[in-house]
Amino acid sequence: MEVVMRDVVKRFGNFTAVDNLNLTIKDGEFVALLGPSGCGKTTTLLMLAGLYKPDSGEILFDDKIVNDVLPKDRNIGMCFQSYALYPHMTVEENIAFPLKLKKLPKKEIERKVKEIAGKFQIEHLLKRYPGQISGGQQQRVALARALVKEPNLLLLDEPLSNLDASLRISMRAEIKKLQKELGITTVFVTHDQAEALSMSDRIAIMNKGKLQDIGTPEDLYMRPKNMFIAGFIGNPPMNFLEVGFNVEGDKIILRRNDFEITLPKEISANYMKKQNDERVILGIRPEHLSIGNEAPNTIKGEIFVVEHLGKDKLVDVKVGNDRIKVLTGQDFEGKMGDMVNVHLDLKNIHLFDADDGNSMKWAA
Amino acid sequence: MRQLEMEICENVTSKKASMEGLRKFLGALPFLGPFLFLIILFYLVPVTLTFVMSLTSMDYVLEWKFVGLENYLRFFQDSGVKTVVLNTVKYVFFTLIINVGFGFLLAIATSYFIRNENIRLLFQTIWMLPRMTPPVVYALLWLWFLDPTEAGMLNSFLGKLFGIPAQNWILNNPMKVVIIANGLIGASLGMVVFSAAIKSIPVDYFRAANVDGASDWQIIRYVIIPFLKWPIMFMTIWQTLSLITSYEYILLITDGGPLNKSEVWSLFSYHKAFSNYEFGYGAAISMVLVLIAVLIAILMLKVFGYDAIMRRGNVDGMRGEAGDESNKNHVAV
Ligand SMILES: Nc1ncnc2c1ncn2[C@@H]1O[C@H](COP(=O)(O)OP(=O)(O)O)[C@@H](O)[C@H]1O
Ligand SMILES: [Mg+2]
Repeated sequence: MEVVMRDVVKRFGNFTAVDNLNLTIKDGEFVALLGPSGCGKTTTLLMLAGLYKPDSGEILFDDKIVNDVLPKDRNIGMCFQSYALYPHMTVEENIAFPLKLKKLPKKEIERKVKEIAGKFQIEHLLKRYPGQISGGQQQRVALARALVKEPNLLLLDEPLSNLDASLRISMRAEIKKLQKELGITTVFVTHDQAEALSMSDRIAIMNKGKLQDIGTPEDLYMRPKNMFIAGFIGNPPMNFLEVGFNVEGDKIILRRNDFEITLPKEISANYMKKQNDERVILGIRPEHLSIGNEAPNTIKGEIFVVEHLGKDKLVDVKVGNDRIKVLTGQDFEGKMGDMVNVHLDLKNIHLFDADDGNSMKWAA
Repeated sequence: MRQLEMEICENVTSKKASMEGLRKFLGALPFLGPFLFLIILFYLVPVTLTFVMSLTSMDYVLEWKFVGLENYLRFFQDSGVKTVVLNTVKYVFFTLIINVGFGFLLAIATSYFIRNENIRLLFQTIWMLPRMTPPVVYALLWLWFLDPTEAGMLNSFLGKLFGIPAQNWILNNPMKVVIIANGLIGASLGMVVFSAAIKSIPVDYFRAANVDGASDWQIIRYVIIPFLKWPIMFMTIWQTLSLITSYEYILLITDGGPLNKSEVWSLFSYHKAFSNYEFGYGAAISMVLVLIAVLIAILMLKVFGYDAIMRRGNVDGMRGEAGDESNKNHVAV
């Protein structure tokens, strides 16, 4: 089922929780709604479910406006962060509940519950109560309950955030695989960018009630449209440094009192429209920085701290009053207080307008 | 050898445990002390005095003349007792239904159907008013409302609207009046307790049920009532016990009349003692009632489990329930 949100607004009193949201989710697509806590993700999901009514704008399911359609008539499967499994019902009764409400014949309910329980490997838990099974098992039961009625749209609100780290990673793959198998259009809410990157076909990234961008994980990672997206997606997050912007001939020179970077011609071409001596924000990810010999076009700094990440080391380098993070190999041997030269992979820099935070590449 | 060691160890730990228990009790004494004192002063002392009094033939002369179990024998042969017992059962049963049932309906109405916080508060406050009114005033309101003359509020209301002739409501339906007056007061307590319980149900349960297609009625049936199982149980026990022993509204509204038609057990005892000045006999009637109340309390605590009632009074206790069942399963296995 295709889902379209058109200029959707939701207010609570004076507070605008979702601001003019425009979003199209294609049939069978797995879309993540990503953003920090309080940005309006759950509110958006509840509007899709019909539990909240938009204050203005339209929600369409397959070209049909559903603003006034009740939740029960939308054929939606929903899975909550708290799972919301009824503690007084067994696992079996929980999964059967949506079918029971639909007044399906007992035999058919039994068959469908068995079938979905098999898919989630929870057949042996059917007679137990939610309080008697582990968090991971509860999660599967909640998913089974959401899917048993074969919904047209699956809504998942931070379904993995109550699981421990290893279980969360294995469930990511499982949910994604299942979604592809069943081909159900799915909206998945999360504040964890790694989850969104690893699971979704496309990510809709939100901040303060506004949609920032929607795109494939690669798109958002490689070509962030603004500083919020650049900083939110990717871990460790992108470094930002304020620099002066000078055009000399066909080259751009980024300059501040402690370093100077000249961008080669082909990269400069992306950003040429700016005037001389404006302040801009240079963004570059830790994985596109390295520590090397003294050379022109590098940034000098002092090691502030070295973090061990297992496979890699994350080196915190002090540059003037700023600190930037550099991802290095395990063999890096610098220590706190050492002076180092940070090399930039100039193909992977981003320049943002210092005023509105928008990427200068996109503004052009 | 090893076993011996273990036994010694166990002995030591159990001794330690009992020492620990004593220390804990002594530590808690400053906190429990005032309550223990109050319970002794206002419960144990009167009960003991009543018991002693019930063994005497004390009358308006206030003489302690011991007559053994004579008062009790008289009670079981008294021809008026049958009516009183029947009245008491009727009174407790029907008042309880209003207390718990109507309280539950009010709670659903004010916490589930009314979404506006201010309106909800207004409604709940209105229902709380009788409880905030002194019993004498509340009883007077009823007397005034049901006044048998044509100027009586209900009479003039029915007369003007439907042309129904004035009637003496209290004289004609003493039991019903008493039950309704008492029930409405008790319902406000039920409303408050159940409302709090309904509001403590996490909103996700309602959302999940809504998305899965549950109607309001189905949400009440499958979500709210199961979550309120323990508060309902608790209210039932609590109200049963307090209804058995309460008589102040009946005393004020009908005084047990007419002709004992609304006389209940506790009021019977009061009348014997303070109207007939048969203190010894009144005390015996009370003692039998105390005994019955204690038996009911013990029975209910046994049936529902003392722990369960104490622990499961809240919604969160639901998890404990599942846990308990797993324990039972382990034992069975
Ligand atoms: N029922 C409500 N009443 C008032 N404010 C709300 C309500 N629901 C959400 N909000 C506010 O709207 C904002 C977005 O909430 P939500 O959609 O739950 O965010 P999240 O992205 O964390 O899921 C938050 O600031 C929250 O405080
Ligand atoms: Mg949320």
